[in-house]
Amino acid sequence: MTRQSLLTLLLAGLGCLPLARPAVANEHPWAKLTPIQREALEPLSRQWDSLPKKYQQDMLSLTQRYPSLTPEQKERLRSRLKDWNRLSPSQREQAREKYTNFSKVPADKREEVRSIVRRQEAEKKSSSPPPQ
Amino acid sequence: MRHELEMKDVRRLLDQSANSLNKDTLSKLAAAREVALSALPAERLASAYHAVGRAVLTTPHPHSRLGYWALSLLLIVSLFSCITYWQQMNDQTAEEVDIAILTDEMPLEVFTD
Repeated sequence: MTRQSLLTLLLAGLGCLPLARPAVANEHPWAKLTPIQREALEPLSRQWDSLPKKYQQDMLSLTQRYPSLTPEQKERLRSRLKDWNRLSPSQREQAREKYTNFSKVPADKREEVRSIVRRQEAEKKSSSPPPQ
Repeated sequence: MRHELEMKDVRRLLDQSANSLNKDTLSKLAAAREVALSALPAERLASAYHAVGRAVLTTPHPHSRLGYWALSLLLIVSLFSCITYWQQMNDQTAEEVDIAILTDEMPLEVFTD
């Protein structure tokens, strides 16, 4: 076999790689998730099987910490998953950067910001009409 | 000739690092360095450079292909391990931040707007 034909075969093989992907794309189907994973990721249950494999893996990693969360934190996680899922990877990366920067702010300043946000949230809740 | 150049390089590097220090420390270090360099025989310095050069630039068995491939493989495996470790650390950090964002009392919009 000549060097040229070997190269052609190699290129053809590389070209087939994207075609082979869908076969392994769904390694974590919803039906095979554990009860805890399903509980944590319930808001994503409908679109779960169509989510990118990497994103599925990231979400499953998050669920490893789910049992150690407080009930309040669990509720927050579930309520934010859909919004988090709607963000693009770059928006998520931006959010991580913002959060990391916020964590570096001195504790007293951070608490000040938290109290402002808490107040705004309370005002928002009190001004919005009660659900029918 | 090569020996002189290397000596100059070392001196230049020492000067560069010394520039970031305050004047008192700088002058004390400069004096100590001159004393140390003048006390060291030039032949000893040269043989040390050559030993390091040999260790870096030659394989353990320069005429053995097996040694060459083993060293290459070791380098590739080391590089791959470093990349994998770095990637895992990155993923772990991102995962910690993700869970913090998703469970923090601060609304998600604060970090996404």
